[in-house]
Amino acid sequence: MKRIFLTLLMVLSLAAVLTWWIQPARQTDVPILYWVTTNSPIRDDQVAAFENWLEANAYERIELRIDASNNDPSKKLIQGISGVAADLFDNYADQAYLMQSTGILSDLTEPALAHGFGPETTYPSVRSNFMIEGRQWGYPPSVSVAVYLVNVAAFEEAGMEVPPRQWDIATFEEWGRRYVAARTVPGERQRHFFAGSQLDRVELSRSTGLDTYNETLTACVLDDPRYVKVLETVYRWMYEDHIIPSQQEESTFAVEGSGLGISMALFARGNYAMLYLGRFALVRLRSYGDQEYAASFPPYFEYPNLRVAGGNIGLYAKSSKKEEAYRFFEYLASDTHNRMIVATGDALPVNPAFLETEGFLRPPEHPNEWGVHEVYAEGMKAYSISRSRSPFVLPEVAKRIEVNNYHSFLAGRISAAEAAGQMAERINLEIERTLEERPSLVGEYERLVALQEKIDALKAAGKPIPADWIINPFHRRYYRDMGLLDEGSEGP
Amino acid sequence: MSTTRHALFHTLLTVLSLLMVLPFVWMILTSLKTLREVDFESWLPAEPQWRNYLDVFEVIPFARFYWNSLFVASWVTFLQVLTSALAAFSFSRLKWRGRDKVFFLYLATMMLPGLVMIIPNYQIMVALGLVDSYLGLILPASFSAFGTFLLRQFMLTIPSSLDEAARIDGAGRWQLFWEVILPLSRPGLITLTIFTFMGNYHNFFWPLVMLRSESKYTLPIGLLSFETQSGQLTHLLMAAVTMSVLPLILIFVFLQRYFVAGIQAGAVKG
Amino acid sequence: MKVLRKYREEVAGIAFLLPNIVGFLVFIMVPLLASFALAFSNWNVQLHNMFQTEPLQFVGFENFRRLIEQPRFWQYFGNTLFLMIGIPFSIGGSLLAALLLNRDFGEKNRRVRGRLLAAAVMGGACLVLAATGFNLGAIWVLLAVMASGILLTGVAGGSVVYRTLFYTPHFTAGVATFILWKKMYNPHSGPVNTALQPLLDGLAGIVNAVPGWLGDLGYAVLGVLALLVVRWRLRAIASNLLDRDIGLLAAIISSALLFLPVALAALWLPYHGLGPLILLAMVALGAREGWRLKRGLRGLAIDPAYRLGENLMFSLGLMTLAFILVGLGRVLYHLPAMASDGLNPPDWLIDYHWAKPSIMIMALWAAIGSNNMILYLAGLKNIPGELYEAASIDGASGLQRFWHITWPQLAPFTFFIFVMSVINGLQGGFEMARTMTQGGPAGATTTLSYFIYIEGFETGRLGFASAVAWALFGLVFMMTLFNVKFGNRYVND
Repeated sequence: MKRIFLTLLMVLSLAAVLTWWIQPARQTDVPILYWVTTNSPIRDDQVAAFENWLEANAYERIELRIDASNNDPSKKLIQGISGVAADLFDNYADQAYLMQSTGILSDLTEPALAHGFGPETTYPSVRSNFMIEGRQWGYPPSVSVAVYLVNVAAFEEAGMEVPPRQWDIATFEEWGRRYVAARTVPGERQRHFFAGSQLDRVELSRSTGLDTYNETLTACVLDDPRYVKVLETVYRWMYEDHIIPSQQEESTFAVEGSGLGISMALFARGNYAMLYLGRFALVRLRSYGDQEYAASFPPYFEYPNLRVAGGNIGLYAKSSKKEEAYRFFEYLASDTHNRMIVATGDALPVNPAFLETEGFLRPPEHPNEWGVHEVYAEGMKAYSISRSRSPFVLPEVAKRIEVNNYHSFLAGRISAAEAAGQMAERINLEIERTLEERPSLVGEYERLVALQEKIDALKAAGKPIPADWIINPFHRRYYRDMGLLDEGSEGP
Repeated sequence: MSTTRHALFHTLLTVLSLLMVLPFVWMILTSLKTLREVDFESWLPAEPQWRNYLDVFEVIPFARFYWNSLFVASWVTFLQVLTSALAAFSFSRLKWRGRDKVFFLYLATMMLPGLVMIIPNYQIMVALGLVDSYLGLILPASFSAFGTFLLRQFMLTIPSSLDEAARIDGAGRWQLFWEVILPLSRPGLITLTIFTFMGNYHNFFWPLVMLRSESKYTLPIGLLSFETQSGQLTHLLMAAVTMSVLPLILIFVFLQRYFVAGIQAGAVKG
Repeated sequence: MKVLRKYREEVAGIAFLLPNIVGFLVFIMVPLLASFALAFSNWNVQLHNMFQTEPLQFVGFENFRRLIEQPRFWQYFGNTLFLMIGIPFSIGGSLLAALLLNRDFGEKNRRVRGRLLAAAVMGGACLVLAATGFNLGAIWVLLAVMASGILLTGVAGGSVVYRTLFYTPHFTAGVATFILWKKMYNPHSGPVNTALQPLLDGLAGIVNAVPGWLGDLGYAVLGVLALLVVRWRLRAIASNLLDRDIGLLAAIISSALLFLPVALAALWLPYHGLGPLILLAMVALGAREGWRLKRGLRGLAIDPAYRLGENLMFSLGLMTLAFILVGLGRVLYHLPAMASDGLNPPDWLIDYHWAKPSIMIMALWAAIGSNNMILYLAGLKNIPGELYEAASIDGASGLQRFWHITWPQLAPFTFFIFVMSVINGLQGGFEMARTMTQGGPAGATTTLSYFIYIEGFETGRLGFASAVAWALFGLVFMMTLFNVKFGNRYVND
């Protein structure tokens, strides 16, 4: 027995020596910038483009390394607070908020001014993704809104034309019912749906004039008949008209792959006539072949709007490569990068000017997509509104509460009114809890609550509201469009 | 046993084995498809894409991850079996005051969900300077209450008459351990080896948190690279997983030989 | 030196323990104590880290209070406990598998082996031909080929082949298994429902064709069956008592458990008044038995909790069995009504009520070829062959040999497996929830460990998450204490 152990020990020690020997040598002449992000098929191209741009502009060489395995959110957090995170990392939708409030992001406001990647280089609706309380904490590599991509062939098979660009809820439902009736074979399980189950409930509720939070972002206001209407509408789409699949039905298509991949495959195959997705879908769809696509805006109750998806790249507060990172951000704001986004279909370019280019609207290699890009461009320019996040509750927590209640409602365990009520109640409880944990916020909170009362009074009286009282980006835009804003200051 | 009985046994076992093997089969089938076939519905690939197995090596430094996983798992298994055997001997063969209380403490520590200890553990690693190092992966895993518990149970089945016999022959505790108890605990040692190796090979969360340099990644972390922005490269992932499973199968089959009855009987007689 | 000699045992004991305990203290005790301290703090990763200046505050039992007040906590706790009901069955399953695989299939007899090989080849060929002949899809042909292959290698290679195959799910570490089961549970096109649907259609046809009162009869029959099970067990306990083979306390607790399914069945009886009557009858009968026993128990001098552990486990298993019988009875009772407009298989993972049972079925499948099976295999190898020889000389049947030799010899392993299963059961479900269900639908499959993950890592409230973890620890601790005290004494020398 002893012999076995000793032999093993020797073998393992040899292995250790070998491992130490094959460790890659570290280059110290060229600075290395680590970017934690997902592995997209086009990442290599993007890295090459960055390095070419550096050369073209006679800047010093920087090596950009993609690190896809550190991309887990909890990992970024743990590493961040322990002092060992990577230089650059992606922050999706609402993560940036958590990262910034934890303190692991680097303030980019001044470098942005110096290197030219400040908020003015991009759309107004995107700015709040990386601007928190007037300071800049990141920069987006691309931006995204979602519209309905249309599979033209599917409509042809139903003997119908391509749907209109803009439509209200009633029209949408009518088209949906017609489509489903045309393509469903009686007696068989339904295999053709008008659209996938993806949709944005916040967009729908905003189209009734109601956002998740109130004007000062101090409370959740979802316990409102308008939100109940939204929930009931979705329910109707799923379970009465069957124009979009319910969760059970979605899983009936035995497709492997994960999440988004499934829906995209079903869309390309024609099981879904439309799919609600951002332009980045094209990266994968193009690999399936060249089908004819069109696009339509999502339907609205009264007020058409689109909600901007919020991803951006942040810089670690303790990074040792800050100058190099600023260079990278400068690149992101450059024409080269924007052109690349346009060409590869990786969502929308950060710089609004590029939405007007011929290369974007009518890409030469993909004539089958020509109707689509205009819609994205128009959506981004005319209808996009920022996401609203309250500083008094973590966006992920609010989202989880909303989703849980939504599923309970869909499963028939609670009514729509109960769901809406519970959402608001629980989110407001979370707000209270946050205030307890962070007494430093209480002062600001109370000031805003007082402001909110004044706003409510003005609303009741039907009078216009001063713009700088409103903090919620949605309400700013909505009131302006409705003529209820007292312009005294700017506002998106 | 009659032929019919044999036949029945075999049939039963075959059916059950088939049931057990299904996910593995699905995995291999998926690894031979194209991405389009994976997303679209199809049980079998139209044409087996053997090049997926080669592509894996291009997309990620698979060979390096492989080596790292094997290296770390081997060291951890070796150290854990050794320290657990020593400790189990102490808990089962030696009588000392407070023994059962300390053992219970060991048991108790297994009961706390490990998730919560990750951050304090990580801070310790940072303090010791072991972040992003092989040592940081190997050391914490080399001590296991589970292994100690398991081997203690095994050792309890060895009759204490053997201890006395050895004592009479003049053996000290050290010899007792090496020459009597350890050989008799062979099934237990093998069992623990299998468990520890597999467990550590598949360990995900701790290396995820600890490692930053790609050159040190183990397989479970490396496989994360197949998650791309527009979906998962499932076919490559499955090819990678299939390849990563091979050492486990080899070890398992190899160690089966030592699961032979009669080792015990020999010791009791002699 | 004299001191050393006095404490020689202690020194030796600690010396052997040393390598282990050093690591234990550094890597386990320290973080453990740290997390304990943090459970009483308001540590929020957002606020208290190297970049912020806010001091950490200690809040006493605030976290625990908040935990208990959250209704979701109790729901998740219930989920965790419910998922643990399958543990006795999982242990039984792995034991069965180990028993099956323990035979070495030496097949030293060349003729037997030859015959088996021939039969295997023929059988396999038939299967493949059938699959291709009947024009079933390519997948069936593949399955047929695989089955034949397994049979052949099994006959040729012996039980090593089967053992490896049984253990295959564990080579792939969960994720592939979870994804596969997700596919299998697909309500419309998964193999589970595809196989169940025609069966259920047939069943609905039969049910609709027979008169309705058969359902009531079925309920009655199953109820009686459950009663018989209970009575059998009670009789066994009673005779054990008289044989001084079980302590009084153990007997009482084990018996009490068995009354639960009976009480439930009685309460569920649709005929008013009959239920309470039956209960009264049972109490009367029980009292009479108790009185009779009391006479026989005069002079009982053994420890009241003797053999509590294993008897408790048995009673729990039988109680679950009785519950299942009663439940089935109820199903039968309602069957005519349900079948009138066709029977459909459930939606499994998506259905709120079936999500947990789906997970339990998957867990049972995984348990058969699991680490526990390996442990039992090792344990079985440990049993000296002479014991069996002696038993068969004495004329013991297979079942008796199992009961009196195998089961007691495996006791240390059963104890270990049971303790670990309870610990893992209370702590588990995290990977499953993350991969398969995200804790849904509507929180039906969220276990406490997933809850800890959400609370800790998604919101940064690690102080609170630590509190939840320590609450969970308290539970596990109590259960293990119970196990060790009543099981270990039976197991330790």
